[in-house]
Amino acid sequence: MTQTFSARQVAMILAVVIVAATLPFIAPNDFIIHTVCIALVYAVLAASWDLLYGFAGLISFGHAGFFGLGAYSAALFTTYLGLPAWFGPPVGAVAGALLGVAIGVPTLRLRGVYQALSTLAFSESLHVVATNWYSVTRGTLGFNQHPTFFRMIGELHKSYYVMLATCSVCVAVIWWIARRSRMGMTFRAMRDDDIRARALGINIVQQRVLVFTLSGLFAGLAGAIYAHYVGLVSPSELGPSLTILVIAMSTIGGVGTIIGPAVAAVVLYALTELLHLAGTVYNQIAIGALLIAFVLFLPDGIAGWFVRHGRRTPAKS
Amino acid sequence: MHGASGVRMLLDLVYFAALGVMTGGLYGLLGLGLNLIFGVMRVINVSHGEMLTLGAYTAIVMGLGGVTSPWAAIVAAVMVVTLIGFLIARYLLQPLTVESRIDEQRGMVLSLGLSLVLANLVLAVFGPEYQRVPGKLAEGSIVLGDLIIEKQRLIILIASLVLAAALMAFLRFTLTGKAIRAVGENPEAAQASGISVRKIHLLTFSIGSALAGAAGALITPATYAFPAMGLNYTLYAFSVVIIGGLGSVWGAIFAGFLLGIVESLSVIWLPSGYNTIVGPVLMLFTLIIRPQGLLGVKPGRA
Repeated sequence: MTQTFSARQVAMILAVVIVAATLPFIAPNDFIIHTVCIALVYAVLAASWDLLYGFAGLISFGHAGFFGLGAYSAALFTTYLGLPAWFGPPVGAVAGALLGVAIGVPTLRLRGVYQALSTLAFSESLHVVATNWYSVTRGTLGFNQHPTFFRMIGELHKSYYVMLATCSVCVAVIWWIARRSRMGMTFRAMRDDDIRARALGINIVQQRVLVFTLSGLFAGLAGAIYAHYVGLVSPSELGPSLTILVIAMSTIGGVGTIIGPAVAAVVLYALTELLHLAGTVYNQIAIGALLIAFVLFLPDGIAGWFVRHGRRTPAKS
Repeated sequence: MHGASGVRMLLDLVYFAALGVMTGGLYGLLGLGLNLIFGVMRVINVSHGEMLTLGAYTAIVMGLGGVTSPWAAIVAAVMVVTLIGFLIARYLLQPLTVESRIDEQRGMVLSLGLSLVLANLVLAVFGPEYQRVPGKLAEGSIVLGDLIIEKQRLIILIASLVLAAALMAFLRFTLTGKAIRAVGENPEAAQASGISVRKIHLLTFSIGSALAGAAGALITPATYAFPAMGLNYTLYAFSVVIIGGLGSVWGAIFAGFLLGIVESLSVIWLPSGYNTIVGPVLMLFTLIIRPQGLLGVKPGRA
């Protein structure tokens, strides 16, 4: 499966790469760089959600659970063992993956709405614990004792390149798993017709747990990277609002494409933060309204629109 | 002395169970509306709690306008939320309907966006403050030994049960109610027998929303309203629906009381603040052990 890129696409990709690589030098202020750093984390989170929904057909209503668990695990682990921040991300990834197994195994029999609500129940339980277990998580005050990669002031450029590198690699790996690997093909077969997939010799049970584990791994990793970048983890990282935001980003970007949700996450987050003048309330209303509009008029999202209006073959097959 | 502490313990249990019954009726009412919508339209309405918020804020607006009777506020809330529910069903859910069925996942994601829009619209209009209404449903409390029950709580319970009973009677005895149930059982067959599935969907969503709106106006005199209140109630409604069984009307009532009582009793064993974990945990256990719910008959898949 080799792809040929048109001159225009090559130019666009080059432009994005150049802007991303030189952002710290061309950005007029640090706030923009900081916003992009967080937007990159959301890109990983949205891509991991899309792996589950767009490729395996499993809707996660509790993706914040993976993210928040990854963030708290990494922060608490590095703090109590006195380790540097770099040990956090692997811990967050493992925690997210384990939660993926924990959700995947008992809910194997569930489909559709039931399966979606089971993920919500998991993440809400974690949300309540993080909010109330004050002696460990410091509750709603948020946990801020853990080390960060770099200092927030003065070392923002270093942080930016670390975030850019890790998040880009994560999205690329998720994309490769979903679109290029055998695993991705198996997931899609399962999504399209699980009875036929089983008849073809695919172990549905194993594959469902596997896709939950992978999705959880990357979402947990994203949470850990976030925690060690901003230096503060609060229970809202486990809350339903974050899940809603991720689903909105993915739907608007175009599910089943990985790149669509990742790009939409960066653009939407950066836009809403930079337009903060208008106030968060209106940001939320705008995102919600945009989500409704896309579900109604453009259910394949922006990526789906590009696919239909371009020459390239559709993502789903 | 040991016997005395045993009696003490038992009295505490009874006391907390009674308090649980008070809130359980409301959970049941909320779950009932959500369950009706799911049972008939096969769509999970994530914005169900926001219908409650809108009902509560209708009551607030009535209060600001000088209407102090909570009953007038409830009537107004039912009317306003019915209209909003109708508009949502007509202009947002109808376009997703193909051959008498709403696309399950698109419907779910759309209602997610709706919940974000509605909660934040309320926040933009009314601000983040906790607000109260001037009127009360009743003054004073009923005292039975150590058991003190606010009369308002009792009225909320009774009103919830009356509304639930009215809905059940409507579904069982009227022709329209039977048509609603027919669409829930099999939309194609209902359509073939001359029932307009389109109209039934509009009606069902309006009724389900109206119940949540009524619940919102009903609880406001006893508590307060704030823009993000809906999300918590959506979670309660989900828990009730899953525990009782998707599509089961009696299941919702039963699960409402069960959730209310267990949550209330959990105060005895769990540190404060943790009682909100009861809903999600009970929901999770039900999903794992008996996905069709306690009183549900359909297999756990949709």
